[in-house]
Amino acid sequence: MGRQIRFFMDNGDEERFLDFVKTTGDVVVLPLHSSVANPESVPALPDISAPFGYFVWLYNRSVPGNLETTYVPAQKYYTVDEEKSPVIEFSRSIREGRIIRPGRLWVELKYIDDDGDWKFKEPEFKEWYEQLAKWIRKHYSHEINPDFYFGPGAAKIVRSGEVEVKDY
Amino acid sequence: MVSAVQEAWNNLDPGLKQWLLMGASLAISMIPGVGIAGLLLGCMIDGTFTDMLSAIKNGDWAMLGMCALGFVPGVKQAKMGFKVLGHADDIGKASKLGGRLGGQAHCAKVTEIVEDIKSRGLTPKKEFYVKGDGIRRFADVAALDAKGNPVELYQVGKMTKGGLPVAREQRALGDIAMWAEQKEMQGLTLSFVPYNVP
Repeated sequence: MGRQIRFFMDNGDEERFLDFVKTTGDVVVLPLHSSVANPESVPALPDISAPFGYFVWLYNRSVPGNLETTYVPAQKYYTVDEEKSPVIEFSRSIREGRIIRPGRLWVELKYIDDDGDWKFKEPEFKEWYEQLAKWIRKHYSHEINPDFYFGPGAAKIVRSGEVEVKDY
Repeated sequence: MVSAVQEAWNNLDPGLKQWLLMGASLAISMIPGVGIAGLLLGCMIDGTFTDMLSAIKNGDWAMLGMCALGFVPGVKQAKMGFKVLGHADDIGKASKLGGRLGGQAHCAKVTEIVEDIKSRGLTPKKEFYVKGDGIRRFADVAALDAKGNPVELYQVGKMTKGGLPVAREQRALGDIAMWAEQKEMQGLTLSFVPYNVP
């Protein structure tokens, strides 16, 4: 069982969140797919309307643990092995016209190793995730809907009726 | 006591089992105000029980699983495509040993599904949150398309000796199916994937 925190962010919320994330260590943003085994970080979040632009990984090189990738032969690209790697899934809020859908941070904290035993990720990784989740809990509100945290920008456009929340 | 009943049931002639099952379902359907009655009656009318027994006789576990999903409340209404992917393999043997290994079997099956989703160019999302009227669940895995729309949902769980998802999983499947109906998710498929060999 992993951990997650669900939210709504607009572009400004995303920027402020990522600015904070970068203060928590040597953090890079990794794409969902990569043509090489050691994926290059992306300088900025991809265009969310681009295919799979809604999904990136956050990887903190200051936290112990190796980044592992797996080759997907059918698609001819590499993907991050999220089970074994100390990465945080950053699924972004998707806005399509008057609809805004939730994003989330999600982590897997344990996995089954090659010997078939449970293996827990490093405590520093869990702490890093908690740091990010805590920042969201502190700066976002969940008055509009208790199941989600709303960034200030997202809350504003939802309250004004500019967009309508759709949780899928 | 329970095991004795179970053993007696297992030793029954398949034909007799069929009559007992149908009789029981008919009896339940006669009870006024029983919510499940309509569902059971529907399963009788559309031949679900007959298909299930036939699947048991032939060892066609995929068919059995598909029939079993007919019992899940909301599934028929949701009119979604259901399928049971793959068959329980040796991973499932561990689940008989207890919760810890059962958890590992569950985890291994989830990993298998994630890899399959990746191989088809979709994005896997574990513990996918679904929320509707009176529904709050986490589907074990979702497959998202390039725009971020969920197109497949997977629930991994234990299957009974009778070939049905255990009660807990049936409830989860029903809720998820109901959620999909509420959200008018056209074309979304929901699959139950067993991780054990009953």
